[in-house]
Amino acid sequence: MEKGKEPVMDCPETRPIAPVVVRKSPASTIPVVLHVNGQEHRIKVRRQDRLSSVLRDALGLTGLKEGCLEGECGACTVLLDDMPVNACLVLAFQADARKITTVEGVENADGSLSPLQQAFLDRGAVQCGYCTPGMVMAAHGLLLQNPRPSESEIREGLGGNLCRCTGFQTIVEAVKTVAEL
Amino acid sequence: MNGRTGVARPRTVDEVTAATRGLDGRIAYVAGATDLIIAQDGIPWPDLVIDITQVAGFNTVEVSRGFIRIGAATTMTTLSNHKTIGTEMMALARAAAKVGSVQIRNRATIGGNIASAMPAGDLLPALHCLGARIGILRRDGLHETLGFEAVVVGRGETCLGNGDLITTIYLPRETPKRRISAFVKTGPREVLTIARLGVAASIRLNPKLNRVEDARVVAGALAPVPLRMHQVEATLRDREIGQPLADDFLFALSQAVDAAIPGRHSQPYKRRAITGLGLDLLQQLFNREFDIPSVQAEPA
Amino acid sequence: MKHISKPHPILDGYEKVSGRLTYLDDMKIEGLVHAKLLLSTVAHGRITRIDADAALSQPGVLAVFHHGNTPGNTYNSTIWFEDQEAPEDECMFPRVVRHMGDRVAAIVAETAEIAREAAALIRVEYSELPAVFSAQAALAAETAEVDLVDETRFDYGDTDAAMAESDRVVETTVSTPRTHHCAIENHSCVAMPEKGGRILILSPCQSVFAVQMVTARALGIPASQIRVIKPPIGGSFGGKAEPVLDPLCAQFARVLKLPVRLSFERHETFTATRTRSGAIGRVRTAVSDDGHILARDTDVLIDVGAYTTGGIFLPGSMSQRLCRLYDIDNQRYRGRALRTNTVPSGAYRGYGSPQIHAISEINLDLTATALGMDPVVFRMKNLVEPNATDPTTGIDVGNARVRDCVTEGAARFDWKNRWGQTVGRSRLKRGVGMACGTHINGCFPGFHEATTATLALRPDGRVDLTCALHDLGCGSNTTLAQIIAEVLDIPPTDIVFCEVDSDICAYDLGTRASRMTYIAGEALRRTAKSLKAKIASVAALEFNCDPDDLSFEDRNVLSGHPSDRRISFSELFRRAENRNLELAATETYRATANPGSYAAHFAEVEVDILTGKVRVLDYLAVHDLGRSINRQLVEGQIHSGIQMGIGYALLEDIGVKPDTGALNGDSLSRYHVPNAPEMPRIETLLIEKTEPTGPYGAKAVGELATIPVAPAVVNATNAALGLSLTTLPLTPERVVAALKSQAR
Repeated sequence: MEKGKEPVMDCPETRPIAPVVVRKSPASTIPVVLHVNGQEHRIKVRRQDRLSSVLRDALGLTGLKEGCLEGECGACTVLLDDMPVNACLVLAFQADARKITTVEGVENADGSLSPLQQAFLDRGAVQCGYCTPGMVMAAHGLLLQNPRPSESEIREGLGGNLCRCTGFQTIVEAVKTVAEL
Repeated sequence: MNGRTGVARPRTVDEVTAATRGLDGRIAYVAGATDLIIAQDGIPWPDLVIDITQVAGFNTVEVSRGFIRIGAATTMTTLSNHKTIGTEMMALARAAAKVGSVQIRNRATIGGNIASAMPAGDLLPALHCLGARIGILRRDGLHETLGFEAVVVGRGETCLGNGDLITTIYLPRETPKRRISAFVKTGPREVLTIARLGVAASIRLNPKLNRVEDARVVAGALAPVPLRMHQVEATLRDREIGQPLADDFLFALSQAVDAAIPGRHSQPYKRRAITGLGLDLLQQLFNREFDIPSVQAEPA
Repeated sequence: MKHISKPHPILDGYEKVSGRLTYLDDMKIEGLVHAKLLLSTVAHGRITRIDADAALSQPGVLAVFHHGNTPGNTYNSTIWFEDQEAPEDECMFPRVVRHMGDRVAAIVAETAEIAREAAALIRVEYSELPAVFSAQAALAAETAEVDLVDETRFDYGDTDAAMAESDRVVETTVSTPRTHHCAIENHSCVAMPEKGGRILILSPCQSVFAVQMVTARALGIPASQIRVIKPPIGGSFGGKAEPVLDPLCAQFARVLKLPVRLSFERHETFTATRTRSGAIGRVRTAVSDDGHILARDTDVLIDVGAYTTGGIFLPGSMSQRLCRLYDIDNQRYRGRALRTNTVPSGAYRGYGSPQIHAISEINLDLTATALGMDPVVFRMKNLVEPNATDPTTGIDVGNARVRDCVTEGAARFDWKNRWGQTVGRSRLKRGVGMACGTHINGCFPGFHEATTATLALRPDGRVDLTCALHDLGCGSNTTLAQIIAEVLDIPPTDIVFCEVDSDICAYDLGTRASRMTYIAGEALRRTAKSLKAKIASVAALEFNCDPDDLSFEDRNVLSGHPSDRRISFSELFRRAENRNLELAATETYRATANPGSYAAHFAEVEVDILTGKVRVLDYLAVHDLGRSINRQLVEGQIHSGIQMGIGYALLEDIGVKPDTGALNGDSLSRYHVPNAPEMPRIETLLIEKTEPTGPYGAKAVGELATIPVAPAVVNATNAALGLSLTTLPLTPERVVAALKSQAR
């Protein structure tokens, strides 16, 4: 564009489309071993990769969802060494050699639901389902740390997981059902 | 070890120093990385990211005769569950338990909370009032131990230069039962909420446990850095535990807000809310109820 | 009944709870490329320059789109049928941006990450224009860009005369916040070229036909060139009713001849989709000393944001909701909707109803206070009776049971003993409050309030259902399956739902206006009856008997008294084939009524008078829904509505900054929705006195569930404190400020 002229709309043309090649990420250079749901995965990650995107995109574990990418919605909750974490706020390289459990690893080997998952279903704690895998993992983690939580401990334990469909009551009831088993 | 990946995962303090040696670029230390991931979103990353979670001693809490030594990469969950911290450093245990959600507390660390130096950082007023001293590894390999106020110097500002690292937090111990502390905060929600206001207090009682000998009271989210409220402390010092103490304490808290944020939009709210926090704080400290102040003096 | 009023787990619950259900962002699509929008950083301005050279030179960047290289066709994203008229002030990329977050440009790249990084390299220059950030400011300003999009008035009886003769007139001004749906799934869309130049859009939406129509207008191509399929949706609540991303994504796919994904991150969902409009309502209620409402005058100012969207309907919608609750002889109403330079508004659970009921129900409680009367007693003197006539439309409100809701609710809540009691220590004040609400059932008498469905027996004896049923995640398909199951006596799991596909399903309005159970449910009931008759006629041939002598039992047809012979559905399918008979039925049900659903909600709150925090301790929701098809799903809807309503009352506000128009609450860390610890235990009580025009007597509950919540919570807070708080949400700051001025 010529200088000194009145600013005119600069409308770059859409470029001709080159054949789509999958670009190799320039720095997928950190080798990690992820122990996910009892399986060992040897992959390379970049230092900025979030655990959530590695689990979803590289390992195809799309049960966990990314709802906010800042640890506020809890939809990406997984267990890291049996403790609930927001996978969106974990650097994948830091999960090296650690035990990761996603919703895919909670059900029984034959694909039948765990008692907690079954309780979610039976109590009507599942609606649109988008928060559900994260909610199940937060509840699962809570019960691992505290097998007999009180109602207020359940509510506190699920405080990092947002749901817009259930008002939480049936979710709390589902967790309580399992806690009382 | 890091030229290709931009990442170092040292296992000893010496390896930390070695990793930074000769590097001409920006260095970021990460532990839980909960702040870093959000802060770096969409902007270029530092030249070297050093994960300190594997450094020996950085994840441990050690109790010795004179102090509790906390590794910088100790998580909020560990702090809030630790037995000695829970009995002797209640303010820290409570503050750690009030950070974010379970998921955040399982990742976020004490060192990160200090290094981020955010006005609403929950641990900061607790650490300040507990007289924390902070161990720092300078980039040149020298160790240094500084008082809290020398480390957290402004909103998001610390004394740490590029490549300097918080390694350890030391909390002085005193005779149990005579040193008690507490932390309270308020925010939009009970759980998973950024503090609108927080207060921590640490007091020493007389041997009969009916008088306050000495006190430190620190407000969070009131000033760019945790604000030690000397005039509030004076209302506790050398006083018998009772309603007159509570009345003076609560009045002084409101005045401290007036002094800290005169004319600010949030002043009318915070000067009143802090009396609520003050009552909760007294209840935590002395395990008894106090009456709310009868007259609320408003600023002119 | 075997399936009606019975609990049945949500049909796709296994897939959801196991993490198997594939939402749009979970799908692997061959050759997919990724789009990222660049959003306006000014509230109002003419774009003078877009420099995309740096972005275009990035490896992996395929194209940059903006107003200079995309169709400038104007459209209104609220339309849902061909040729629908609505003011068209949106376009893909406007030359003049109208709010922070308006669409400036888009980058398409091989990966989402490249697109994101490249978008940050585009330089935009604006020539800024004057902007207004509130409806009041818009009213005061006299610019061409910001104006009134609708004004609706009605006036019946003689309001002025009745006011003059009344014992007292209570005036209040209530203001409601701009709020966001916060569905956990962000907005997302995929578009891809199909053979013959058509575009296929995968859109988690509320109406594939609305997506089709709006996209056709925007692109300037016939609707037949666009096919839309709805994948599973991670919550909507009205937020995904208007197509926002779809026209853009379709355009990119069309130009690039590649499948393109356009997915929003959370802050984009906040700043660049839709919100609930804010409203300020002044109400004057004239009463006699014995508590009869003699007249009411309501004036509402609605901030619809930067584009007209559905704002043209809001003043009218509000008036219709307002007039169906109390029997008032003299009423005047004026509703005005104005555009401002803020994020656009659109559908959000109740479409004007949460706003107008907050405005009127808070006024009503303050009127009761002025009268020194129990608000339950006051309401009972004025609530509508069954089959009252809506004075604005002349429509019968149906079997309106709001009086039962209040009476039975008050008894269950022990209202008499709890109201007027000051409970709690001096610092924590408790109080109880209640509010009523009403909502519609479908769009009747609006255009094309009908549903067409096809049911066909499958060889395996199950039943294929073809109908554009957009389950938004709350389990409407489960409810509808129970209706079909009841008619045919088959398990609800035997009904095979088709994917909602604009190429396959008959035209439908989609999920909106609380029409699923009441309209679609009745359509399916009739279609199932029609299929049942066809099955019976084939079975009658097989048994050589009168069809009236047949009975249906668990996938079988039985003949005779007592039933000695039976034939299974799968066998019948084979026999029908042999006879060249088709076991399929298609029916269209056109609505003939629009009854009201009603509710009364009761809340107890505790207020910390020092920190100003309000906590809801106890909650009872009573709903007149005719009949609950699936109580568990009904309660799910009610619980969810209460969560949103408590947020509306106490926490949620996108917080338009008065000086810049930027949003304070554009992330989940600054826009607070209630989480589990904030929620009280909720009890629900259902009034099931059946609506004659609804399927098995059922009518709607989902939208209504959120409508009385905020006024009930505000009324309880005012009762606890002896205050008249009227600005929502009741933040601690507002509560403390009110307590301070009360003390003076």
